Amino acid sequence: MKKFIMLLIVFFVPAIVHAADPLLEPPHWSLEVKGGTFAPALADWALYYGKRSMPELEGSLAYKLIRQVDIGISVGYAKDKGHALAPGHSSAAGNVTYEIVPVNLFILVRGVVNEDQWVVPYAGGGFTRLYYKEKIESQDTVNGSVDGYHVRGGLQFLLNGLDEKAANRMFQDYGIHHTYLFGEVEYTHAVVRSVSVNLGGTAYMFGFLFEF
Amino acid sequence: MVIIKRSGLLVVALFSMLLLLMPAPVMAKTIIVLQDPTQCPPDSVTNPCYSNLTDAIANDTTLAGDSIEIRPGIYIGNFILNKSVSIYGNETAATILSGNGSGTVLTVNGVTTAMSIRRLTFVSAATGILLNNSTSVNIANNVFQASVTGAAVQLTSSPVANVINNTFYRNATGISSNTFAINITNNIFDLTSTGVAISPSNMDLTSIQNNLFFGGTIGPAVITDSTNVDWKGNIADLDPLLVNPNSATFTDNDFHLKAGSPCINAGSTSPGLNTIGDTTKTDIGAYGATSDTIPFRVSGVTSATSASAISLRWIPNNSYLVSGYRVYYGIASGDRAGTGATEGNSGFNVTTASATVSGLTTTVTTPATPTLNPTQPLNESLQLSWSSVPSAKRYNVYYGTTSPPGTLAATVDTTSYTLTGLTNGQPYYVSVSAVDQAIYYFTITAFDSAGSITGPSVAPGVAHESDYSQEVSVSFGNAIEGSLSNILKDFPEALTPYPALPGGHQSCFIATAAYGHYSDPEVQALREFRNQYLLTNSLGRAFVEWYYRSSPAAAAALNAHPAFKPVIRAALLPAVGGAFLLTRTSLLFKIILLMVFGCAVLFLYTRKRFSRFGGAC
Repeated sequence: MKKFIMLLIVFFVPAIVHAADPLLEPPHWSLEVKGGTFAPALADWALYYGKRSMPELEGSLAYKLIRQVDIGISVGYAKDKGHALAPGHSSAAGNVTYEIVPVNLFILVRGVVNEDQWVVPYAGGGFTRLYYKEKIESQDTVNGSVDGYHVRGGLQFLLNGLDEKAANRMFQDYGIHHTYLFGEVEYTHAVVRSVSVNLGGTAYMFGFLFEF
Repeated sequence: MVIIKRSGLLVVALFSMLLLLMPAPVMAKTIIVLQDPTQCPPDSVTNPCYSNLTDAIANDTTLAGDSIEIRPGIYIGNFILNKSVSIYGNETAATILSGNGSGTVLTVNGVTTAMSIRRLTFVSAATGILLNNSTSVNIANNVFQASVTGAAVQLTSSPVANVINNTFYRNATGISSNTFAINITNNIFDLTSTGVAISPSNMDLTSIQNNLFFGGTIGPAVITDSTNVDWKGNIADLDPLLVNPNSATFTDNDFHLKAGSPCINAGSTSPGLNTIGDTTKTDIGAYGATSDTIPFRVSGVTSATSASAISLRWIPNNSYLVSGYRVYYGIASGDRAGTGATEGNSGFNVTTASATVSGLTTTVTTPATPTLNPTQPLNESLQLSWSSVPSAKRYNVYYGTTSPPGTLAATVDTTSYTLTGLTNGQPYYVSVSAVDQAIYYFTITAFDSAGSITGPSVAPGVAHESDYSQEVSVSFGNAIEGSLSNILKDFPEALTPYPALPGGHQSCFIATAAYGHYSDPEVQALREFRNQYLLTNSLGRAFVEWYYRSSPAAAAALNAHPAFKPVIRAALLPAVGGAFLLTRTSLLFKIILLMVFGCAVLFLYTRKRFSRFGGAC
């Protein structure tokens, strides 16, 4: 327990190296670009698609209500190719391309107490509308959407201290106050009720966060 | 004496040092531009090689005095040349610079020492070439076509320019200049949309000579004055007789001259003599004087076979310079080394646009039997693949509802095929067989008088012989079909993706919720009933649309209360049973069933009637 408390203290202590100091006014917006893998909650996914997860890309834009609370929207995209089932043959047959576009409205709480804090934990969640499309060989394409929710959490690592000159240039040229490298876990729950299928799953992603 | 010797040695030593210190003379080099970098010459120091004209011009190692040779291809861009570097193509018709519909294709900016732009075709731009504050630029043996909105050649403060032996076709204006002394010689101006060949009309007329103006295009007034039409060799209102300037695609346009063209031998010899044809005089147009010597490639090759020979025909190349054609053949695609024809080995000559090839071997053996791999079911189709048979030239694919399958579905030269247009659930028998037959591959070239069989033919597409035409393959002689492969039986069916999701008129929501899965047989039967009996008529389609609007909510409620699922399954039983009967049984079975049902009803009705009146039974 003591170790954990010490670790927390270390996290919230300002970085030893002073970061760029263009922070006369705190940033109001943040932009995230991230990518990783998405493991669907569907139990037999690997049987039809060959592997347990698929690549996912996501971007988000958020407004800071206060320094610790963001609200925003994110849009992701994941795609995989696999096989369909020939039910009469009880075997895999034909090709299927499966695509999803989760659109999330979220609120995010960030544990930031100091502008130079080099590790920031965060957690959040919100509403999800998940658009799906299945292109089935020699058949009609199936598409639709379903509503659900998502939760996510992770750690952001402030990069400004690594290269102060670059951080200053980022501020001067683009108005970017902070740049973070982050890793997060996101769980999405979106059930198509008519067939009792959860199109959600767990995503493990890394990316960059820019505050401006 | 010693002093003199010493001073002599000193001079020699000093001179030697001076020589060593002087910069080595830089040799002008030729830079190659081509679209396939694998074709670059091996020595890229002597001949730097690029796949992009912009890079070739901009590179720091490209210096004044160098030349850029552009190999055949279409190069799109708005190129800017600000060095005294000559640019030329090695085949005018096939070396195309395109502005992609706008701008200036090639701008020469501030070049003050002599350079030339030769043997290129300019297309699809506002302006073909713009000379800007440049001097001593030679524009020769080019074709300008479809430079729609502006002048094909625009000169701005660029004196001492020579525009010689070019063909201007369907441009807005031919040449426009604010410099009045330009040498405009041996050009064809045809069908300019503004009707203006040279602008302004008060240019120095003494250097406008031996040009041809046609198609509503007029030159300076004195030239087209009917009383003075032969002024300095200029020709007005005579069709230049271009071979084929109006193809659907500009790459097929051929601006060579036909026999009888007034441009033949009508040019000024000052730019140089003809390279081929009458080499004592000069032609007007892009292919006069020092033009390339590659005939336009042959097109439209067709074939026909008889029992003993193959007949080939093609669209004749009507250039007056073409004196014959060369027929190449082989036993594989790209093979030009065939032998055995009565007419000669591959590369024999003919003088007309047709040839008969006889005496070719047609002997083939019965091909082996391919093995059909397990079929893959798809919606209303079956995917087939089979093992390759080395000697097979093609495969026959058979299918049918009885064995052995007798209907020829297709003949293919691959080892896979998708049988389409089948009925889901209907079993089909499928099989393939290999077919062997002699196949020959032909391609044709045209050659000029210097490239005849006794002439210096280098290789097709290089000099005096056109590039190869499109290849045609001809099956010849008896085809021998091998035995049928193993016969497989399979049926097509609609596939169920994972996850099985609603959308796009695919799902029976309530039934899927009740039976648990989209691919359950009961759900499938209802889906097939929908496809066969409901979606085929307007009343049925209306019902389906209503169902899709209203059923998801019911399905959701059913999923929320799974205890009701057995009840719904029981309620759906008659519908499912009916769907099975209607979709999975033959017409005969349906008729028999209807008759049995009718008899049963009749029996029951009769019995009831008798019992009412106190009869037996």
